[in-house]
Amino acid sequence: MANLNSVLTKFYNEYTGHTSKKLKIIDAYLLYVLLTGIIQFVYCCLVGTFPFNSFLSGFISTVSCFVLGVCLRLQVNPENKNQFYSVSPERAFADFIFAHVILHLVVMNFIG
Amino acid sequence: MRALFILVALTLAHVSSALPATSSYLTANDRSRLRQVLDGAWVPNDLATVHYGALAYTLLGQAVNKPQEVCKFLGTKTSETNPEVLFHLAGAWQAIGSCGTLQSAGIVKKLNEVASSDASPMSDVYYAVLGLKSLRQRPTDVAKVLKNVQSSLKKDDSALSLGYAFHVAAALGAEGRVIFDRIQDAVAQADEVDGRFLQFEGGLSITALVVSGSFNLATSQNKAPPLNHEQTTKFANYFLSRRSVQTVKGIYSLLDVLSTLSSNKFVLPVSISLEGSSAVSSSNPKILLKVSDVLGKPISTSTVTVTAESAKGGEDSVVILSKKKFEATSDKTVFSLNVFEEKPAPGQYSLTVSASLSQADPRIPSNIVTTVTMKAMCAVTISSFEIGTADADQTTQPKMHKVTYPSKLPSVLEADSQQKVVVRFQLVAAGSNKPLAVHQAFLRLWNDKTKQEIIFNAEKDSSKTYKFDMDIGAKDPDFGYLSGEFHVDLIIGDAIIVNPLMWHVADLKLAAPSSDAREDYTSSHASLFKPKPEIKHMFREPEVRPAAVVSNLFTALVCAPLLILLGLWAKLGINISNFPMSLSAIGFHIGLTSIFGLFVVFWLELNMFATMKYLVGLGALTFLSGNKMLAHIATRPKA
Repeated sequence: MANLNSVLTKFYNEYTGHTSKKLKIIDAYLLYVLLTGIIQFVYCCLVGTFPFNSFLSGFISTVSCFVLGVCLRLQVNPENKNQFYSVSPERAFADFIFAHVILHLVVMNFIG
Repeated sequence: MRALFILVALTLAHVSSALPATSSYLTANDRSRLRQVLDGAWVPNDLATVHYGALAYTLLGQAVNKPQEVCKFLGTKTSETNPEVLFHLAGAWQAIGSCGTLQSAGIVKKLNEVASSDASPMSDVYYAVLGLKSLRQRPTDVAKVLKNVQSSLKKDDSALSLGYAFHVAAALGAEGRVIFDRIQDAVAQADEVDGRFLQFEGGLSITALVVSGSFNLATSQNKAPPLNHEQTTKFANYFLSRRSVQTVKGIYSLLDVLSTLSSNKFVLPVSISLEGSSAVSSSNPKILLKVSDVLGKPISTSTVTVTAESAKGGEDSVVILSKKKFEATSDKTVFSLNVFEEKPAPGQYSLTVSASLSQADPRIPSNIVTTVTMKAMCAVTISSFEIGTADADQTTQPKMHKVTYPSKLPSVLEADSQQKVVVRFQLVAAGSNKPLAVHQAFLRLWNDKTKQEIIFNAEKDSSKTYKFDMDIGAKDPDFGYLSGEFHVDLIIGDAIIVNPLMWHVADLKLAAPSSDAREDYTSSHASLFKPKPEIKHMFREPEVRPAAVVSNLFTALVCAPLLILLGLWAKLGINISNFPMSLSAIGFHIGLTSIFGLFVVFWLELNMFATMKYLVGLGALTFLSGNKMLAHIATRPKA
């Protein structure tokens, strides 16, 4: 238990110390999306799926936002620069915004 | 070649010596009916009707009605030039015979012109030559007429055309022999129907035209036509089947061809038919057979012998007689035979009869065989009849009462719904003790007061004993749960019995059934006529929704992470002061916010098309400003 505790403490210190501010902002966004999705799922388990399409669109929306957020984080991270050589952080952000616009158009259409 | 064919035909005729005969002839009834049709149609204003009508009256041996009026009508037509009109005029004038002298010189000249003209069709040549014949004239240029006929036949050798040609050739006398060979072609065109009839396409008048033309031509050449007895009989069958004809021309055609068939020198169709009833019984033991030609006249001056070759039929198709001679009667054409003395079992029989002449006649085959149907009838008697009641569950032996026809059971039978009525009876033909099966054997229950009747079928078993069991409880619905006194009647009927009967056997008193059974019956009957419940459309039941508190709680819960996000961001220290206050940055943020605002409006009220329209504008603005802002950020030195 103490071992696990020390691992977590080290991990937290490393994270706060070595992660850039931009990435932390994105991580906060990811956490927000994750929590929203979990609460929706809990509601669905407790109360029921009706209206089913609204639940689906809400839940899928959070999952998609999470995936898009992770993509943005990967592309913005300076450690992955070798893999995304041609993609600047600004370009990645523009893609992220564009994908969100399209995603939410579909979600709004499906929500009923 | 043709000689060979005729030889073959003759041989065939010889081999099949059992030649059929027609089964009917033109009776006096038929004649009077035809006469009535003629009387109804006899209005002197149509030349063809007058012509054929006058000829038909002559063939029926009747005087023409109102001859003066008709002669006056004919007198108005003497100046016509159409060959058909002149043909009818000359024919009618001659047939009536009492119109005086016809001014015929102009008519003869005109008809001669038509007959020897190349342009005349076959029908006009026929009208011209036959018209001249009625005026007792021959065409002036016989060779030319024959040439015309032959060239017309080359173009058209239908039955109608050939029929005209035969009549023309017959009118020309000896020179007509060139046409005689065409009779064979005409006969080959005839259609056979059912193996009984021969006819030409076009019906009675064309068939009659060809057949009478063939025989007239044969008579004028004094040579037998290439028609054997069987073919002639089939033609005669066809003509006799058309006895109900209703047109004047049809009546003339029928009478003319039948008189030709009965009076020619070559072939004579024979009719063998039943005279009177086809049923024999003890009161009417004789069967009468008429042997005649198609007009009902005797076929020969010599003695005719009619023999019943065999009679077969009844229930197990037994032969009841063979080789029995019919006796002659006072009528030369009618022969009688006492079939009933052979004691036929009741039923249908087919009687094979043959007719032969003591003196051979070339017109008639030596032996004519045909089959007629007759039936033997009998009186039915009821040999035993028992009626009784028993318990429906068959625990006790039924108590039976014997009844003899025609008396009635003296006591009244009583039965209730726990019992059944049992009937047993046997039928025999009078004078024998063999059980008899009939087509119809019924028991009728009849209530004198309510006039209600129910008829049941009595069933027979293999020993031909009739049985009838009526379970009153099970049959209650048929009675409508009524009780009371019913007559029990026995009904016996069949085509082969002379005394169908209905016998009041007994009286039956039915006790009232249990009251609940009757109630069931009335209530089920009443509900049949009530209106059915109305059918209403049902919408799907909506799903159960959670309570408003739960929904609102979760809405708040879903929104809560937003606060966490803002909190975290605040903690991380977002550098809002670094916000570039450029037009593009403001434009981008306003544009992006508007897009998400538009999506909310889309969710609430807009449709996809309107949304896309606004989205294009907002998207373009956001894209341009966003592009510019991000480019600016990218070129800015990193902080």
